[in-house]
Amino acid sequence: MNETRESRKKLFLHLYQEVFPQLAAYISKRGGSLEDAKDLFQDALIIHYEQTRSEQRQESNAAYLFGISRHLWYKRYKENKASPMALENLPETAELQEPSHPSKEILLTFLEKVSQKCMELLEAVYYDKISMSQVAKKFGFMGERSATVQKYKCMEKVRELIKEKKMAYEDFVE
Amino acid sequence: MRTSLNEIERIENYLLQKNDPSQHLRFEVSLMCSGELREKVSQQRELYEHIRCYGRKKLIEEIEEVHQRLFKEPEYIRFKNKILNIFNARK
Repeated sequence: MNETRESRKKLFLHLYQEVFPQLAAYISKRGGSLEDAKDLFQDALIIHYEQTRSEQRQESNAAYLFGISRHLWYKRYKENKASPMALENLPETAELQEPSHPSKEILLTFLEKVSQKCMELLEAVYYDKISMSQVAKKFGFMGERSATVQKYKCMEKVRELIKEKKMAYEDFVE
Repeated sequence: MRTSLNEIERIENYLLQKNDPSQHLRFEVSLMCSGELREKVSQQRELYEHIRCYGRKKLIEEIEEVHQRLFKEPEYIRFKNKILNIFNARK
């Protein structure tokens, strides 16, 4: 699993160095701040990752990434101009700023603490969309079949953990 | 595989649309007949949502780590100065 994280960080480091200066100049020229450029670029990196993750082609695509960033800037700028308060509720980017719900954050931290191995396995399958044979290799299973069985076991476990946590929370609220 | 795991697989096939039309229809019939199954489907849908949030949270952490490295480590001082100059030049 760490291998995925490390190679991903390497890719981000490369993309940052290749694209960010150009984007910073673009944003600066249009009156934006370093903070604006950072936010835009990080959102663009997430979109870029989510769009390319299943294609197994995690090569640097600088022009494409710059295009996404520019598009996000244009959207924010336009909507911001129309209504000065709109910066906070942009459809495309608002979705990216979701970890603001405190109970959701608490739940995710809890799940990671009590079941880190399962969360990493499920993340690899459903978020990173890695093939089951790669998952088997990464997590040390005999083959696809046993990785799949483990995946379902993890789902059952995490589902029960969420249920318990929710019930405990409801008892507390009542 | 245990019965409960088979059920999770069946729900996954339904939710992630891996079924052919006749399997899909059969599953919908089972759903109509069982409140317990409906409950499990909604729990599993919620589970996928949590996994997505978890994955994104990890990704954001990694990106932030890369950002901090570039702006704090001496190795990348030239990069940092280049960026700061872009914004300072405007003032």
